[in-house]
Amino acid sequence: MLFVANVFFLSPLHAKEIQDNLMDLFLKANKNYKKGAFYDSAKLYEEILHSGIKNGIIYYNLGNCYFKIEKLGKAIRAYRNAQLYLPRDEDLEANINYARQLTKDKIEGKNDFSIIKSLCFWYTLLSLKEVMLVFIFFNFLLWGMLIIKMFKENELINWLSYSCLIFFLIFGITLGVKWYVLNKMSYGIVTEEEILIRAGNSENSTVLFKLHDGTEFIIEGKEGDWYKIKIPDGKRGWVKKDFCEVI
Amino acid sequence: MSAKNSAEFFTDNEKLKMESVKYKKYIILFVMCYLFLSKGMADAGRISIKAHVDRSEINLSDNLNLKITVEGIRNSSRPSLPGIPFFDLHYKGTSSQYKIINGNFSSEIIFNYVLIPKKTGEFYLPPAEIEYHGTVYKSNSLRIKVLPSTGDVHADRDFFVTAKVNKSCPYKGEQIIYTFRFYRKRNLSISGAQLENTDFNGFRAHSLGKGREYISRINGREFLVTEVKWALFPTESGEIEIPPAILSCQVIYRRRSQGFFNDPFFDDSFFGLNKTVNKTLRTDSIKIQVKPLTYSSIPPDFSNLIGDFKLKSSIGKDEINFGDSTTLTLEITGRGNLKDLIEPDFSSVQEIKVYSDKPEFIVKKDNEGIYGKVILKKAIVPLKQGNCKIPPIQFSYFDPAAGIFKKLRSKNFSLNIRPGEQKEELVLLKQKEHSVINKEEIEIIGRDILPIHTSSKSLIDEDISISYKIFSIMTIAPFFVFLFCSGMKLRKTRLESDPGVRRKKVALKEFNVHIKSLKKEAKNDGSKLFYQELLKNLKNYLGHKMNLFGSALTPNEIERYLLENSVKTSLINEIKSILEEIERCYYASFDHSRTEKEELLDKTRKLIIAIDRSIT
Repeated sequence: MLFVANVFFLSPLHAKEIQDNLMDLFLKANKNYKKGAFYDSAKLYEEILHSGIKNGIIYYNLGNCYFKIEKLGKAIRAYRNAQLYLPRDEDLEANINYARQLTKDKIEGKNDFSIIKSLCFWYTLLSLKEVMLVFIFFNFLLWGMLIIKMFKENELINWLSYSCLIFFLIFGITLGVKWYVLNKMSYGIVTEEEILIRAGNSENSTVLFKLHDGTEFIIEGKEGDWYKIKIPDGKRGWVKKDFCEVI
Repeated sequence: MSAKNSAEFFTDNEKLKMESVKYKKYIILFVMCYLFLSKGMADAGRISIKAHVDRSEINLSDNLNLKITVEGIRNSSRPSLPGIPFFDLHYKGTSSQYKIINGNFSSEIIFNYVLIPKKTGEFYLPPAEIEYHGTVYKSNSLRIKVLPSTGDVHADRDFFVTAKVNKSCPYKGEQIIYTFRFYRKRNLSISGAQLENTDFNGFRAHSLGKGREYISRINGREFLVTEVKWALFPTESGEIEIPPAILSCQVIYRRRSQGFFNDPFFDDSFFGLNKTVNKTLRTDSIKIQVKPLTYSSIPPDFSNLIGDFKLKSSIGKDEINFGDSTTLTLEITGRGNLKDLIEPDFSSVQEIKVYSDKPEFIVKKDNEGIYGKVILKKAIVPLKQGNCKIPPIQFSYFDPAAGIFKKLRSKNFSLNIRPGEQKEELVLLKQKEHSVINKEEIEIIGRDILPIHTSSKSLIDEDISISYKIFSIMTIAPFFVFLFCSGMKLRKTRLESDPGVRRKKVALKEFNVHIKSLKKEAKNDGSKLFYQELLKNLKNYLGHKMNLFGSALTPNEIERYLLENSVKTSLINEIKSILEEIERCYYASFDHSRTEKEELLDKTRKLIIAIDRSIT
């Protein structure tokens, strides 16, 4: 972001030069992918991301590269990042589902929120930015309707006002939850072939269980070089930071 | 009576005998157990394998019994007999023997075979081999001389078998009859007859039933004949050899007996009065030269039928509604390879649509082979109204007796198609036709991820969310607008509910409106109305401001009010002087010129505006 901010303050000529360089990197990365040089392609997409450009398509392409070189954890991580920008991309949905199917660990979730997720479909369909925009829209609409209602009251205005209030509350809660999940909750993913989950944050602690490449978990805490993690079936343990990545 | 009491009735000698019987039982039981339990274990003694034949010189029409005896192994597998090309070898089972000689136990297994010579000459029978615990044991080799058959092989025999075919040069696919006959003298007892070899490679064979028995006279001797037949259809052309058929049986020879035992009941070998001999009989092999059909002469409508056939055709209804169907029945009757039928082609028939039913085969068998009929039923749906002609259905078959292809032709049918509600029916028929198609599950052959995106939008930097500052402003702004509007509304309400406030607010507005109307009045000379209205308007303004009745205001009240509201003294003096001047003009009938009136009007207006600003 800092880089992008700098671009604005740079001379237009210099900014154009940087943009051209990024385009070159992108085209080269695409070419490498088509040639089958997935590792090289991944490096180039990473370079674009490090330059400050954040875009769902770059993350998606990066995920594909990692998938092809059988780095499931890194691939899923990239896909999940892409989902923040491209929540309705069907290709992305298909690829992340397929990558998840290939992970070794079969973990049954204790809390199945599938019904709630189906009912609150907009939660996954919209990005945080889109939820914010929808919330702002209904915010304007609601206060606008209240202002109209103040000067002119009739049944239609009443009905519209209440409808706006309901949508305002729905998207307000959605926004709150989404914001909390994105900013307050921390997720991680295993990026090594097999890792040991220990009872404590030291190498001498008892090994509780093993996790494999691509398994996602919630990070409940951090202490030194260790994460305290929780997997969907409720099992908890400690894992060294080197063996996983934060999503 | 108890067993203990009963024992007291025996003498000591009898008791001793009983004891010895008891021990003998144990000994026999022990020996039996030893024999059974030791089964599977190698004999401690010498292992050997021997081969011997019952004769070393036979005629071509005779059989040879070969016995291979394996000694010292109780669970031996069947020995292998490598390469006996000039004989047909038939395994006839095993027999075992156990011997105890001078306390030494020995066992032997005998493997029985029947050798059927294929040609004349002197042949070397290679050693039989057996492998036991990694060691190969070989038998002795044998020399067998096969002499040609002399004259009628069956002439002086009591039992023999024959095999014949009714045609030695059939066409490929033509039906021929293979007949196997078992001849035996009428008074000869035979049991357990079993036909072994009915191997018809190169033919499709159908048994023509269990067979029949009859009496035949050969060279003045009566024979009981059992006849079994097969219908054979050559499946390939060229020379095909039907191998000899083998019949094994037991021949019972009666010993001379007299008196009481001269009864058929005692014929059974169980009573030891008869001698049973196992016999293996064989027929000669038969060579058949199968002729192919000449491809150049095969007509395009050849139905693959070879034999003698007839065709009958009929139609269900010759008058139907458009969209209805009628059934065309083709019945092919005859003797031959009915099951090889290729159905006649209807594709060339115009104006009708044909739906085929499953063909019905009615196949019968008799001594002369397989015959029967095939019934082909076709649902005919006319595609037009009016007169519809079904041309004769024509196809060919091959008549082997005449050696030519012949044609079969159905009748010419004509249908009268009446108009009706047929279109819908036709659609239904078509749907039915489609519904017959068996849909297949989509087979997932492989899985992979979907390709990368190459859109140029990829390099547009996207924010995950809106800037929190903008979001906060956008969230709060409508609320403030609402607050502002609420204030407006409150003000409006207050204005509407308090007359004093309302009067103060509307004072200047009303004054200005009236001033405008007075401009016209200023043009009229000598009119008091101008001063009257101006005075009234001025006092009304001040009355609104003071929330008092305007026309009753005195200059002192006006001065006090204006001073209380911090209006400058100069303005107060000015308003007082204007009021005096207007009252003077009005009451003293003093008139100003038009210009002076307009100046007065303008001066008053400006003064009121200045006072109004001061009061607010």
